[in-house]
Amino acid sequence: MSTWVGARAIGSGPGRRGRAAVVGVRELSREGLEGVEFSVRQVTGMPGALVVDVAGEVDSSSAEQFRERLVSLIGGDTKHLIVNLADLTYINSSGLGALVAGCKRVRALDGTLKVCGVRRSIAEVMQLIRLDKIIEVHDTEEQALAAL
Amino acid sequence: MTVAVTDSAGMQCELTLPCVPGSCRKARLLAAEVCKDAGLSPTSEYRVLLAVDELCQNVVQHAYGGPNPGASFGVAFAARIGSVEVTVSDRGRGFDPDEALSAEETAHEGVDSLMHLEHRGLSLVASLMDSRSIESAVGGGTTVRVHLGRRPGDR
Repeated sequence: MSTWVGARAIGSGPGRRGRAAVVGVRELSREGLEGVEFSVRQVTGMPGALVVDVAGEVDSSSAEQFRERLVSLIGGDTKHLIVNLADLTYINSSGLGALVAGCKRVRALDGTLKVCGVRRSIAEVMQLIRLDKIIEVHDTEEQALAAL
Repeated sequence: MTVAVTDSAGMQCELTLPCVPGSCRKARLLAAEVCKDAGLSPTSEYRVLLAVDELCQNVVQHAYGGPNPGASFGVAFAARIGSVEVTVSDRGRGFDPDEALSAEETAHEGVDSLMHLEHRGLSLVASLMDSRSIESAVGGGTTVRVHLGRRPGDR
């Protein structure tokens, strides 16, 4: 069952860096994968766009579930994803591959996948292995939403 | 089992792990401690963790034909300030390194290779670290040694 949480201020807590200052959000689902919390929000006034919050560690025990869950969101009315990684502490190559798989899927629908809030170490390694050529990275959720 | 030694040559530790998926996380956690002791920046630490994770995944998935709790592999760290060397070794079925690297490179070339990160483990490790050496022979096990040296932001 989904829950309306309406317009709210977020971004004040230390683990919430990268979130938009004030957005209208509707939490659609929240679930725990192996070591990862995965929640989905709908952004009011932006049909076809979802924000996905990923917290914890994406490693070999959770990467496949993460990929399936992420890709399953795309399609139907949804072709734009903002993946907020502000509370992500680690992601392995399969997890990064899941983001790439999501990218491929939205592009096939003429949509976009943007990542935001990612910690500097992960962003720098994404640059190093040239993932920034495929996945658009924004500092904050607000910036990512504005770029839709 | 972990054996750790710290002397004037730096810090060395070694872990012997069963060939199961959970071992990758154990190796990664020890790698994180080693990187912090060596004063690596968060970015350098993440590079090492990704490389260790990737190498351990390779062992678990391929060295013994899949996870095998009865088999083991070793992860050894040699660190000094600003520098970490990691050696991952197994006694599994081994492979021809030239063939494996060539297959990785030709399977997914150019930008397409970025779409298949999980199928280019050895190439990915090479791009994360300063150096990588592979000793392996069919039927003779595998030893992969990687090294990351001082970067801006390291202690």
